[in-house]
Amino acid sequence: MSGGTLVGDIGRWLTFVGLTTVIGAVAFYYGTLSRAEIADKDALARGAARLGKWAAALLIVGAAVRACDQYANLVDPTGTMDEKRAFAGAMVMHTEWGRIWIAQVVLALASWWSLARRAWPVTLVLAAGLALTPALAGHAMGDQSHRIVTIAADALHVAAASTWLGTLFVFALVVILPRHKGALACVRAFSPVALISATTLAITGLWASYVHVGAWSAVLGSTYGRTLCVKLALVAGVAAVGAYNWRWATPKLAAGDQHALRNSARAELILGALVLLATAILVATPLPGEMTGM
Amino acid sequence: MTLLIQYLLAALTLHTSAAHLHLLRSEPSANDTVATAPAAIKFWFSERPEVAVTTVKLATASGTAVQLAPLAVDTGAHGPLVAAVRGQIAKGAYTVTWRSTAMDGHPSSGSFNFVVSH
Repeated sequence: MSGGTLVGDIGRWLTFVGLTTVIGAVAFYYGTLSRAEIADKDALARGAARLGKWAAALLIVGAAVRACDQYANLVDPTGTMDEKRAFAGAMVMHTEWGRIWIAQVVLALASWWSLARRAWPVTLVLAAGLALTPALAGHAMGDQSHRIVTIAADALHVAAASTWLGTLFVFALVVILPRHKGALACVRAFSPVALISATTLAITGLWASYVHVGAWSAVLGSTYGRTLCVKLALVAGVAAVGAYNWRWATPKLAAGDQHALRNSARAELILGALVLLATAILVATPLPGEMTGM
Repeated sequence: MTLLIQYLLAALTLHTSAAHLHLLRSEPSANDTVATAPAAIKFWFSERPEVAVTTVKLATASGTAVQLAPLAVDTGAHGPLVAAVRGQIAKGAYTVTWRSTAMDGHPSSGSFNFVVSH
């Protein structure tokens, strides 16, 4: 499907879902729940922490799958067992990819621990670290001209995207689908968070367009371009559901009808997961015009 | 309008634009015929390769592997990856295969042939 393997795509997807939801749990706690005027915040905080714990575990599973895929892609199959063992050690311990992989796994384990104890300030710091990891393992590291700015922009982009999608995941699974009576207050508290996230996405995206996007004319005729179009359609779908929520579902919720919001929450869950799947495929797909060897 | 579309694409795909490592040139170069046997195979990549997980193989036309020294990177910002040949290689056709990754972890691989004429 992409420049990588199917196993790699699945590993990256699990990682993205886990990372997004861990950050989303923190964003939900600080950005939405703390500002919502509802009585039993503690129950929702427990629910968000429980979901965050599962997400941290999913992140670790995704990391394990990615490591297996990376090993299979790079190891010399004709090598001896000792050589293969040494290679696996070198892959994790002596490459930039491996160092970031270790950091991600340690941060996920620590997040699991802190969420289990509902140590939210600690989880906030860990989530910030997690948001930084994709930037440190990605193309931002290769930007020799503005490396620090590009890494910061990339990390902010991941944080903003996770705040938006991750909060939606937590919101759907902890508030809407279990029919919590504080749904309306949470919806109203989430709106400014979504707006700030979108603005951050736009600013960091503007920087990315300056740094990363070169010859755009070749995009639509490539696998990368087609996959990108699928992702854009899915993102547009999430945005459309958000608009539907704002225009129709929230007024119905205010009138006591939760049905419309529950349906759109299911749609957001599915579309959000598909956006992350498209992203998992895109990050392994060569840009248009790239050579893969000689 | 194009700028707007370009911006929207980039805004939604910030960290999806990771470039993959690819081989820019080599010594001997692909399909080259060299008069004297090279003492080393040199690779210039688009990005710095992760030497710890890079493998290079040199084989004769019949598939016999040629011994290579551990990989090294020449000094300098854009120094090549060097696979020194152990011993002397004979006249004939050779295939070089390589597998590597850049700092972003995306695996890349390739192969090329060259001929030693004397």
